[in-house]
Amino acid sequence: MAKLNDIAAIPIHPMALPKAEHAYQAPAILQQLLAMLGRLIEHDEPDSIDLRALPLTEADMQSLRELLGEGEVSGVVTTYGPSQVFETGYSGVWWVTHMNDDEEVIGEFIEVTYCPEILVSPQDDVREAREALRARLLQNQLDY
Amino acid sequence: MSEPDKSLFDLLAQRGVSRRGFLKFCATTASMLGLPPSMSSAVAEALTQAARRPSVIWLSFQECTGCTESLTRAYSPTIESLIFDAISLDYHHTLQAASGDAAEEARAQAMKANYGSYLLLVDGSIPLGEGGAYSTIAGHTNLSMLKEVAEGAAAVVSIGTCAAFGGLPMANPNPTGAVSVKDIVQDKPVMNVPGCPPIPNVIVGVVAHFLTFGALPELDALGRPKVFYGDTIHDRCYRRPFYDRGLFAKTFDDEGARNGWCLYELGCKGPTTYNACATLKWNGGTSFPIQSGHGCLGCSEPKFWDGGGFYTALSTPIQPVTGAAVTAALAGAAVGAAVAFGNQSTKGKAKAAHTKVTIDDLEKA
Repeated sequence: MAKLNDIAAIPIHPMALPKAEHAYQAPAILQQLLAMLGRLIEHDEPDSIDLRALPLTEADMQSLRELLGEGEVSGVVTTYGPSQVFETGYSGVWWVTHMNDDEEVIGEFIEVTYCPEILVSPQDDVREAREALRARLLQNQLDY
Repeated sequence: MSEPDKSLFDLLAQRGVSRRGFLKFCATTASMLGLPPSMSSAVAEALTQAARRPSVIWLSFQECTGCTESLTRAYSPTIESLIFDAISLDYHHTLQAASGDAAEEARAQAMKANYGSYLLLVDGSIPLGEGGAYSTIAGHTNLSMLKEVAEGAAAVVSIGTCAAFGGLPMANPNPTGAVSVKDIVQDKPVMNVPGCPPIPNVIVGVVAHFLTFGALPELDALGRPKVFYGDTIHDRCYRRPFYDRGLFAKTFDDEGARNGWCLYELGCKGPTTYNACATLKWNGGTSFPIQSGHGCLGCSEPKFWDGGGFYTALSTPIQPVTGAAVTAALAGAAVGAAVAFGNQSTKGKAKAAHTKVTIDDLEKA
């Protein structure tokens, strides 16, 4: 028992997060985004970067967020858990964070596009909406 | 339409998941499968058509259950959702409710009903010594059970370094005569998913890939899926810039260690180890060994246990590289190749003169 108590007395010093100057990879991603914006403008080709497929440190992520900033548009899509979407300070560069119902991040992307697909109304949904609205109006005619 | 004939899209729709939800599911699934975001629509296409809930049989041989422990920590998708929605896990010692004769009966039934189409997952090596007496299940040797079940499988997946390469049981002097699955099964596609244990999401990722596309992903020369084992830990390590600049921790408590410098000189096997730890990480993406301050042991490589000391540096590191990033990358690649070659010779020497590792050996490094 005495030994166990000794263990509790061992001081624990949490290490500081890697410093911002250790964010080596953010500039490389900015270069990639520049090329992707070029393809969007010239060839109308949207593209995206899977941030979780890259070995980014917390410092990289933080620096990337700061470098890109926040633009005019932000929102939450609530389906299959929340998804946070915002346009960065650079128009056409969007930051999309998908979470599950427990709000754990299950995917994080930077999308280079005029509008992220998750924000656009799905065509089949729009067709169904028209039918639903028609049915509603028909019902109202019968009611009155 | 009977339940097993529904596509995953139908199942999700039935649960009130919208089209946007499905889109999100496909984007995160592509990411989980290690595919680029542009493959998201291919995943969607496949999942709208897929109408299978294949039978999966999991055999555990000479193993420590660490691979199953790892599997149950999968979070995207969770093992529960995988079991209930996507596969029919018909036999798994640890996870199934049935035991004894009922368990063996479940295996026999699953094999009969899905002959030629079930997926066989194996963890643990197969002991051949003493007629296979070192490990038996329900009176059958691991060897006879593997042969019997592999016969009717569509494909076999070796989960963990023991099943893939023999692992710890096969380490010198290999008292049980352990061999890998591939040493036994040679007439079926066998995919190796090594690691001690493999990353949970790599296990579910490769199973999900089979479910999504109906085939195994592209494999490397050692039978490993390239999407997860295509790069070395070193190439994807966030400490790599320190290696390129020649900044190394010399002990585990020096200034370099505190500054998060490269752990190469402390025996990190990152340069010769192909795995996804540096990107997927562990415990829900929290960290991985190098991020926690310890070098990579190389647990997903063949004969990692006999490859010399865990704390012995692979070879003398290069001098600091300065100049353009391209130069650094090229030099890095060249050194990587040289190191890989050097490591092979170290392993050979270690094997030839195998001695017990003592605490003194660890301290020497």
